[in-house]
Amino acid sequence: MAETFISSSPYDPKKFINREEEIKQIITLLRQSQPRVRAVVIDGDRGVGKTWLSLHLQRTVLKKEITGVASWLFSLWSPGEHYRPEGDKPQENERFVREGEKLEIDEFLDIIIHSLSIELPPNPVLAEKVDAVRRYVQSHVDNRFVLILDSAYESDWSLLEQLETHFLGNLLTLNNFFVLVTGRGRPYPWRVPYLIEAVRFGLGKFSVEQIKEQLKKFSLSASLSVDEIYAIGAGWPLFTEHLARAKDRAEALDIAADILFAVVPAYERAQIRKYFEALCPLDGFGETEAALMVRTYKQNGVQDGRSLCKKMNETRLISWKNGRYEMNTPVQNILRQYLPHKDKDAWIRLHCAAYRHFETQANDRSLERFQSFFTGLMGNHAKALSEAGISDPHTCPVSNAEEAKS
Amino acid sequence: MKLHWGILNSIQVSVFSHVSMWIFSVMEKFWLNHFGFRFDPFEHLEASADSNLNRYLIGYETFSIAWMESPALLFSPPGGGKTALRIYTARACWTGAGGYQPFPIHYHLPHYFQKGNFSTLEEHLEQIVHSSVHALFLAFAYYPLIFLKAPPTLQKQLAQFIFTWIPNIDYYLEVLRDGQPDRIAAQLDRSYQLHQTPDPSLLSLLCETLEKYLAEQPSPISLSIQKIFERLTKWITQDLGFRAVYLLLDGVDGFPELARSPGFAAESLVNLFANAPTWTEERIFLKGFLPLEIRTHLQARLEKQWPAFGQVELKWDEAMLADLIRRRVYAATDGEFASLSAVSALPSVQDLELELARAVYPLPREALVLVKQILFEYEKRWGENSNSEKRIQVEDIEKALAWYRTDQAPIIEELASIARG
Repeated sequence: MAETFISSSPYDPKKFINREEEIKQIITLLRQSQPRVRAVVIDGDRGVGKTWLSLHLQRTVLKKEITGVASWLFSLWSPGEHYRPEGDKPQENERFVREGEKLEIDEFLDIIIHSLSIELPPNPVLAEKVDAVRRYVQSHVDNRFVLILDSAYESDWSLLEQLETHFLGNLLTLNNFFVLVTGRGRPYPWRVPYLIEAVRFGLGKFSVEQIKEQLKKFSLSASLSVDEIYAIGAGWPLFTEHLARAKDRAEALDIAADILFAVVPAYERAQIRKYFEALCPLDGFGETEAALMVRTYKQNGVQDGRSLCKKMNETRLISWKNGRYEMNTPVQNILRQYLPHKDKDAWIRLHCAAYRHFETQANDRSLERFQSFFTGLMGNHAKALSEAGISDPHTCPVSNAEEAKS
Repeated sequence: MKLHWGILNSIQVSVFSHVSMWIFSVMEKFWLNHFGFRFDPFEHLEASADSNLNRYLIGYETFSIAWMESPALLFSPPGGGKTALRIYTARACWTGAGGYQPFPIHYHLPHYFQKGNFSTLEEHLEQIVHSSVHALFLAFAYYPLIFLKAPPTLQKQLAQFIFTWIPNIDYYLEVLRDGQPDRIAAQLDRSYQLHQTPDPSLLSLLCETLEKYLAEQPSPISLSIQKIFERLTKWITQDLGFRAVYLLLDGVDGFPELARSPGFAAESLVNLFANAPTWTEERIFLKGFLPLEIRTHLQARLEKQWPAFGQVELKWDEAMLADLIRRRVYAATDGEFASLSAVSALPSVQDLELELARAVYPLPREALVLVKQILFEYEKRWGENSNSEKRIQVEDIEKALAWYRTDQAPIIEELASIARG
């Protein structure tokens, strides 16, 4: 599986589209004289544009549209070795964590302290640094101080724990200190009341019209139609640029799938991608289904469902929802188009295995009360098989291992 | 109502001395590793011992009453989460290492009850001041900078105040030198335990400074308790920079005389609560975490002041209890999953937490007891056969449910009796 990486464009204010509503909400909040809530949490799947929004706020909105603001952008999780949304030149008051890097709280504080030219006692300890920042913010009541923590949920939670324990809980008690957090997947369980009661909104996907506008602003003339780009990328702006450069749908799907897994460390990317491909036919799964589907896909013996789920979980491309693991929407959407095109036999095998698994559960008398649920799932897989030309799910081939077992 | 004290005892007896629970507590907890938990979120039935309590708040609306800047009354039956909410509120005050937060002072009625019948405000204040000194000393121990930033004159006053009210202070200073304020909190009042360690260099400086003041001749203090309370709260809200003082009253149902008679309990508290609305001007907010039965008695005695209190009743239903278990699983697995069914042999469609919540008497403690038993059954089965699958099996759940229905039946009956009034 050869990966083709074409770097995504770094942030450019001229190419930024939409998000007026979210930006308006943030500006309104910053302009309040006694804001009760001073934290905003922005949630969204990979590729929806959280980092671009963070950069737009940091470099454009907070500089041009509102006065007296000091802001910092910390992007806490790398989007992969091939993409630098911040561009090549480091900018002041910004820190982008690269793959394999670990940001320590002391460095975090030093960036803030340095930017405010705060003088510290000799050899300051952590509490003294925090206290110095706090006193500075407290003594500049007419200013606003905004901390943007991008990709926080995906990041190392031990840093978040330190930040909330030593810094955020303290600074957020001040009326002129604000925090904007972006993240996807599993939300961090905050302890700080100000973050628990934060304003929350999700970033929505782009419409077909906005994809058109995006193509125009990026000066791209695509081989695929806008509707095709929309169908593959499902309105997630990260994909538009790449899909527009593809020669045809097949290449577009290849590229989109590569982009999805760019966030996974290179040494295990191919393997983990296989797990996702194996599980994409399912709406949700547990350890049993993970083991079954990966075994069916790879056709090579017993799999440990727990470690599969754990590995997939580490990518933050799945999360626990509705009592099961679910893939992020763009991941599932793209893989469900990619896999039947790339490996139709595997696609059929996987649906067959899923059909039979749910059939067994539907027939299990101890699970009788869930029978209609399992029957519904069987129907979905039968439909997918029918579309692939298989009329009877009982006759289609499954993996060797499955055959042997049965 | 006579059952009330009985239930507290029987819950404790049932929970803590039940043989299986004891065995469980000394087991190695292989399940933590098997299931990928960072810590055991079901370990502590006593909230103050749980260092992760603030990661799994359920019912933000309830907390917001405790957190808002007004006097508040929070009612619940025993086991309904009063103490957990009080500890949660106090810890929320300390997230961020003593920023411009409220300063929490715990006031445990039974702890002090032997010393008086609390018919006057002064008798309450005597005990509140006593607890405030613990609160201040421990605040400095956990966050030495709060004390070290204060001007020397204030430092001296605070130090002498602490020395006057805490006997054996030199012993506590010696313990503090080891760098573990939790050990002191465990002796003075476990509610103040924050489960964290201060910066060693600042702590050392704090100890030196306090010891210096200890060596000096103390100035005699001859003020009324009312004046001492005023001075103390002024130090906190004005000189040390805290936003407010939160007085967190709890434990009314923990003492037989009070538990037996809600009317007597209300009478004991009325002078304290009557003053709460006037204290708000000084940014002192009294929060009562009270048994449900006391509500009407207190209302009858505080007719005029009643509207000044934010009020809420801690109610638990199946959905909330299921959420309580899920939040704990989520926090302990760093968000990898939020249900024990992720590590069970049950089909993923089955809502295990909801089913467990439906099986117990609707109180948090009951849900936790049942989950602990399931994990105990898993551990026991796995201990007998370490080749078995590392998943919770249906039989583990069924055994735990059977245990709950038989061994916990008397407790459930008593809880139901209280609920019926």
